[in-house]
Amino acid sequence: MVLMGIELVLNSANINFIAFAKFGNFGYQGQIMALFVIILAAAEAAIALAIVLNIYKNFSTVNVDEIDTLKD
Amino acid sequence: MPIYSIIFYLFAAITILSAFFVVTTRNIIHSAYYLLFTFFGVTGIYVLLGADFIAIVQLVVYIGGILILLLFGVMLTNKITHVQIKTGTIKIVPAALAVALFAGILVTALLNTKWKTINSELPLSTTHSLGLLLLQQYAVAFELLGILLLIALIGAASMARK
Repeated sequence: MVLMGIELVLNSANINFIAFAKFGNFGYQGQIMALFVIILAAAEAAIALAIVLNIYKNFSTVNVDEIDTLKD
Repeated sequence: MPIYSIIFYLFAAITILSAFFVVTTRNIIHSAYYLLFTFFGVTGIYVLLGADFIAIVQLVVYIGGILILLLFGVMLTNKITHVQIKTGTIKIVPAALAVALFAGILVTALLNTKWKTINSELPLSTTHSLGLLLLQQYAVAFELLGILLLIALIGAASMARK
């Protein structure tokens, strides 16, 4: 759920980059930046999912509100 | 051009409505499917902005890679026997205030700057220019991203096994 929110944020920043690449005076640099953002989002989603699977193995839930063993 | 505006508003409406339903629906598998529609809407917006290569990369990498990975994660960690209840500890009033403040700042900044726009020419195919830029000016970043993807792959694979 949190991961889907992160993907939404990255996509919205990407739309902004490509809009500036079309309407501004920057050439194709906005599209290159958007490409880099897509690649980084893919790497980060892979690692985040490995973390989520480990959380599920240890706590048997993925609801982040129930994982509060560090809270006093 | 009215057709351009109609298609743009259609894709924008698809994107915004799907993104709204991603965060407000109770079932997490429905949320993943609404994310799929959001990505399709974003692809349409990219094509309308003249970025054809980035649109296809978005389809292949985001929908065909990241979304499938997310669906794997959701299906593997979902308890089938009972319905997942969404988190109920949201304080609505401070969240709405913060969002309204942030949106107000953004809209004010948007409407009050003098945008310098260039005249839009006919859309070309961007693949050739992007390839040249990637290998001439941004070659270092390109190679570093390759190494980063390798590190991410090894890290994720070693974290997710027993």
